[in-house]
Amino acid sequence: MVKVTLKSAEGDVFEVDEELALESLMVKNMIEDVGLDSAISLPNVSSTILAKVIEYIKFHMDAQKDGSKKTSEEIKAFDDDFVNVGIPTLFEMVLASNYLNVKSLLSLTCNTVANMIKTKPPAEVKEMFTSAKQAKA
Amino acid sequence: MAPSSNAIERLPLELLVWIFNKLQDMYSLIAIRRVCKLWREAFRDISRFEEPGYLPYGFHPYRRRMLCCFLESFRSLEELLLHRFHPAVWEALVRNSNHLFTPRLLCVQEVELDLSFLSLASPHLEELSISSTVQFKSLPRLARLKRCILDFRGKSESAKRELEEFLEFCEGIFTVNAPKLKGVALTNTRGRLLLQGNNLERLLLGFSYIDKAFRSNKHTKLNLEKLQVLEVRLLSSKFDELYELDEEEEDAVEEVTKVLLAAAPNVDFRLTIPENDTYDDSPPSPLLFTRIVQLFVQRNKRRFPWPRMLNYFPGYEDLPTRVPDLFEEDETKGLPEQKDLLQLAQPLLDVQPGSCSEKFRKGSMELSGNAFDPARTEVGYRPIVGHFLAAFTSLPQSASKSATTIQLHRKLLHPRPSLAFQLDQPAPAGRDLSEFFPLDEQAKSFTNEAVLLRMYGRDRAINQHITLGVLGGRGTDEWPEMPSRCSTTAVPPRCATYEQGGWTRSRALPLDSNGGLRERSIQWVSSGSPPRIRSRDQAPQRSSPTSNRSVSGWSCEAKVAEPASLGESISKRAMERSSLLSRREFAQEQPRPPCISTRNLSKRWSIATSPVHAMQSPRGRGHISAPILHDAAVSTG
Repeated sequence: MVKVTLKSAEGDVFEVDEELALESLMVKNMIEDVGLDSAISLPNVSSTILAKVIEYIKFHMDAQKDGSKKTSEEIKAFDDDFVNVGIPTLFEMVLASNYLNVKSLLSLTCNTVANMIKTKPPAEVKEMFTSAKQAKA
Repeated sequence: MAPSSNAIERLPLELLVWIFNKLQDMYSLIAIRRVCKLWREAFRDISRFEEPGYLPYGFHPYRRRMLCCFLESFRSLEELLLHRFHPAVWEALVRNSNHLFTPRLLCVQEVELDLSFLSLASPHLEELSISSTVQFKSLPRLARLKRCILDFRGKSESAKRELEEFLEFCEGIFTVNAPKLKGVALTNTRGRLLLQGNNLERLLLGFSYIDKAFRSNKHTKLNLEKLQVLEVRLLSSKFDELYELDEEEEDAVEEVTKVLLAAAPNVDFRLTIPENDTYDDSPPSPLLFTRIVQLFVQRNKRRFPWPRMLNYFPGYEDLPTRVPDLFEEDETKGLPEQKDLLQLAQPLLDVQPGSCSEKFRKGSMELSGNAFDPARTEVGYRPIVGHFLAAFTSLPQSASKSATTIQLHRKLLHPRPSLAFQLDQPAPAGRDLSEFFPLDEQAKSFTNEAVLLRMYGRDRAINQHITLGVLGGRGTDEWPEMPSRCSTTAVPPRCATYEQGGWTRSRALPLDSNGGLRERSIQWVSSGSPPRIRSRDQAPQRSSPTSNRSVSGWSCEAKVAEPASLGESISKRAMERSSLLSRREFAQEQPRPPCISTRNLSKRWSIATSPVHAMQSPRGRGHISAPILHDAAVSTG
């Protein structure tokens, strides 16, 4: 199995399978351009977020494989648990999925943000994002 | 990667659109707008979204949603100009309008706006103002609004039917401007008038619709506060066309007149003078003048006492023949005197604000209601006054006019000088009409000052030196507070409009140094000319296609004068000279108590509306206001 080296913003290196790396259209294009010899630098993605992205892609790849025993409920539970993070992390995942061009993850995170905003009054929404900002700082 | 602002602001616009597209309710979009700066900025320049290619292909639904969010985010918006909009945008716009909301919806393409949702989706909407070329669907749904202003620019048949239905069911106060809708039948099939109650604040319709609207109307049931009649073509037909009117048209004219008269005392109706009947080369059309006289007679419950005075009005000589009921056949009387003419014009002039307090004292006279109440009239009669005075001032000048004066006038008139004068310096307080009429001693007291005093109040007439040319159109509310100079160019406001940040070309009526009509010609004031000054320090309201045709009467264009020219200095001297003469005559006659010929006049009317009465103090007749005497004494040296 061919390995692809991904380098996060902090300089941490992640070695993943090529199949997994190709789930990201951005990485796929980079591989096509520079090859597999050198590490692919991802300066816009932190190590934490990159690890989460890799975890998400890996889970869904396994779930889609033939013979996978994961049910839709389990996949949904995983997704719910996956996005059950703080707002800053969630928005960083949105940005990372957008940067890496992972459609499924982008859809999941955007849906999560929309659900957070939905049915909330403006003041509460504002407070939610403001507190998230302060927590991050 | 510490965020510089809150987390959501770090998201690019595409992601915001992605996220917000998943929201189903507008409320959430508003919430996002308040916390997301980028989202706000995206809405701020909504015109960006009109540029093709700004958003990638496939984002059009988002654009629409964003526009809706933009509309709903400005709840205090008073005016909005949209070039293209989706029905959902319209819904968002109306839904959030719980105050007076005056969007200008300009649609490139013909779009039907379904207003049927209003009854459910807009529970807070009470007032709505729509100015649009689009076609409204389910317009009667608006009838439940407490106040509604509809400005129709379209002229489709379906819009006409919608309007008719709307008028029938409307409960609140509404204003309808539909100058282009043709054939609006305001009576139902049973001949019943659709306009019921006090719900009509203003109705702007074309002449042909008056015929249809009021032909079978019960006039006594009318209780309209305002009725603006646009293009009363039949009322202003040229003299040559008068005899070409068929019977039906004549009936229509009569019907209109009846309605206008029957609508008193609550109606302030404005006869807008069509384009072909302005101050060009002809006096007011005889038919129009006939109607004016009819109105005058009806409102004052008296007859036109001077048949022969019509000889002074070209084209009106046969008026008594055509309208015999209006005149008293008393050929024994002599020629009308100036005071009589002024007295005749007085009821028309009295519509000016600030002039009717004495006249309308209880028991002083028997005018019907508050038809001339200045508080309600605004500028209603000003076009009529302008016409009346145009005819008045178009009288042939006396042959005794000296050649020097004529030469001076030529210098003043050609080429067009600034013709400005300092208001704080002596200037004629009106046109001295004594050159046209042989005045006796009594009549001399009825100079223009009297009229001006009555129209504009004592202080304005004396201190601001209003000329007779202004007399026909400028009200006190339109007079500049502290104008340094005033040119003597009267501009029909319906020809001078302020559109899109610039003044359009305007037909101006040049006045001579005496304030009368300088020439029977049309002068163009280019768009670069200084704007006129209005009393309220604000730009005029947005112009509309109808504003060129049916706004208030005449006004004076005020501007900052150019450096003093030769013509200006000459004009100033002429004005000073004329002013001194007129003031001297005025002052000489002041101590005399007014003695008005009351023959053939209603006694009460002659007392209450005499011009001299206007110069008297509010305490009663016989009291001459001290400032007037003082001013007269000064002027006479």
